[in-house]
Amino acid sequence: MTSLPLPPHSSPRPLLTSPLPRSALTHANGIQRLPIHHSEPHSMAVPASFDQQPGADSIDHGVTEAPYERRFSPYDFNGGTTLAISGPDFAVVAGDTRMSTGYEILSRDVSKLHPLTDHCVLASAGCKTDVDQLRSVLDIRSDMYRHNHQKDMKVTSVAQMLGNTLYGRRFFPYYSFNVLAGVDAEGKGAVYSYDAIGSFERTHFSASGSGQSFVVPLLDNVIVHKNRQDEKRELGAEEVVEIVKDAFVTAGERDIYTGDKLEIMVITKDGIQKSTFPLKAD
Amino acid sequence: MDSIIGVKYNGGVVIAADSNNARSILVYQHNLDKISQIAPNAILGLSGPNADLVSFSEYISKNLKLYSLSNPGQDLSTKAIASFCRNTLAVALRKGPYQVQTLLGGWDVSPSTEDGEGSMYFLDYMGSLQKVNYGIQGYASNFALSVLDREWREGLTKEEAIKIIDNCINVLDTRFLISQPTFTIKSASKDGVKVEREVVAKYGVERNN
Amino acid sequence: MTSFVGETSFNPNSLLEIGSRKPNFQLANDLVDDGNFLIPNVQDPAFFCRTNFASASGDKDKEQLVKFAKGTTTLAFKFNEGIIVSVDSRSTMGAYIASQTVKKIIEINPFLLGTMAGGAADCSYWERNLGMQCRLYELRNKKRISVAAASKLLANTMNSYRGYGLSMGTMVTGWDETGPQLYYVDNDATRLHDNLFSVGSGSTYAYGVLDTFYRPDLTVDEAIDLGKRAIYHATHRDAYSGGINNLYHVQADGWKKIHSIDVNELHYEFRDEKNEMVA
Repeated sequence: MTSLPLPPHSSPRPLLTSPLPRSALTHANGIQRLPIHHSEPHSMAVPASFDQQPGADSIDHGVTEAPYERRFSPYDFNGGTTLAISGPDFAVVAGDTRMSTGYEILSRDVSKLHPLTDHCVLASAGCKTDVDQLRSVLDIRSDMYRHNHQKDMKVTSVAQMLGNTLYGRRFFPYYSFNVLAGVDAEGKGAVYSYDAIGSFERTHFSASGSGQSFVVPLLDNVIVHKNRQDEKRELGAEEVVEIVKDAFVTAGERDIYTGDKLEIMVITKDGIQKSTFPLKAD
Repeated sequence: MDSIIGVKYNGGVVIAADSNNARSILVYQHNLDKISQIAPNAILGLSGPNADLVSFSEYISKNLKLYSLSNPGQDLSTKAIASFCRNTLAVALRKGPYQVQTLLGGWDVSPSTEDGEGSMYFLDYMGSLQKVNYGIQGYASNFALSVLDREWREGLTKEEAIKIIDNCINVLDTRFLISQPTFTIKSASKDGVKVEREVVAKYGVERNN
Repeated sequence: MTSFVGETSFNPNSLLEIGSRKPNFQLANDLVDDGNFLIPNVQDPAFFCRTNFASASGDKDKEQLVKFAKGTTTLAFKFNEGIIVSVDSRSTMGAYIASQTVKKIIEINPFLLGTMAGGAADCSYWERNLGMQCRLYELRNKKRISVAAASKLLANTMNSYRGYGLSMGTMVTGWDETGPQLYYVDNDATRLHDNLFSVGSGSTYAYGVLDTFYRPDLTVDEAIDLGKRAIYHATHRDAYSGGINNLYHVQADGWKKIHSIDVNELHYEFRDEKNEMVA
């Protein structure tokens, strides 16, 4: 892992090592190392600075600064928000369709929702390549199950399988923040929220992604009725869909990575109904 | 943070160990037994993180047991046991070190005396081995080695050895920052391994198994 | 054609696969989980993993890009009528509260309970794995596994992954042939046997109350009250603990769930109690 300091003009050698920010690694193991510049600018940690030279970008070409090492990071954050809410006989899952990296929008029409069975949908935000790989692995495993058992997996089993699949990569995680939604064997809506390495829990609702912090407090109040004194009302599927649209509009206002279009899937025992809703494209 | 004190006397060895089990600022328990009987006439006092204490002493004692089952009638001398411990530590050092500082004490039959003789070995976590008459592991050495230097002599009896250990414990009590109120003491001699002083914590389990 | 980074792998379940039937097709077996963990293909995988993917406690993982959900105050104590296990239910990712309803008591089988503190995924995965090993033991030996053996199995698993940044502080407890037993097992393979333990960031606060009022001859109601209060005090002072107090009682014929109370309610209940005492 130690390498000689590179002269500023030579081509960078990618090293698959740590995606840590520079400060943490410069004193790893007590050995002084050169400051590290990542090949991709860290999208999550780019500060808004108003006194940069015009025309300057966050990739430093090393012309003016002292020598440093370039490192390759296997992770990127492609943004977006996902949300799922469960009801007495339905589950609503939604995700925006913007895919970005850093300050750039790569696409305005990429789906974050992925049906795994007729009654179960996986919504994931995070690093798109890890999300795609995860979907691929889950598809293969649920196909194998279907071939071996002649029936579809139940939502509860899918939830456990997803947890185990994520933990199988405990030492090199899928950078994917998942929400699983579906209808369980009794017909009740089921929503499961996950962390990156597979710790999961069945909850009433769940949100993940860059707009999570904007959406969760709203839903804590409106759906779970936290910190409210008035009487709690039962919410039907149509009303929940309207709330979901409001939540995404709210998130889109304050989160740069959320917007463009909203995809909503309503899952009932009769299947999955898909709809879309436009969001602001700014 | 653990204190292990070992003294050889005429006819055996005595090892004392504090019975606190602590991590950072929290004390988990006051009745941890850090002296392990690894052979019918040998004891090992260990200091270090609990996982390594247990896995090292179990590894040594089970291997010694296997040897005695595979080679009936051939008893291993304390010197051989010490050598085995040292080798284990040295090999593990570059792979996944056992972070234990130990004092090994044992009794062997001797041609010169009918009571046999004790021997004590000082082993550190990197695998350095030294035969000693008395030894201390841990911060306690800063305080109590001088007491042992002054008081130890050839031909001690067991009671005298335990009294010297008590003097060491008193010094620690007076001058050592960390409170170690209770010590477990075990001896190895012709009659095997005996528990001289046991720690019975107020509400804790009596033995750590 | 897979272009995976890590080819080195451990096989934690190889002993258990003796005598099992493996499927004779190996479809895309790099993708499908076959009991191995993918390890990053770097020079020092242990250092890499514990620096970048550790489920550290408090905010030790603030430099990490990927933060994992963590759990926080749990306690268990043995008394004459069995064992009380009492936990909170908050899970945090850095300063964000990921959930207030985490089940930190894991029902390994009807006679064994495990608690969760540290990395949520690590605890739930390895305790579920422990449940599987306990069941295999029962099937092979026609009797239930002892708590000592179950905790030793878990400690040995943790020993294999030492240095890789796993974070798990759990208490394994149950009632077996030797009576009620309580063991503490840690991610660095520490395994301790005693009558009273508290684990997590709020453990020091819980110990304060627990040590002061604990007696082995508590009645069942007094013990339940003590377990409840200790967790309440820990959640009151520790920011990383909170939510709901879940309490279980381990008896000779298995464990029983006693209650699930929001610690917020407990705050007002105890405050009113104090006011009445002063008045």
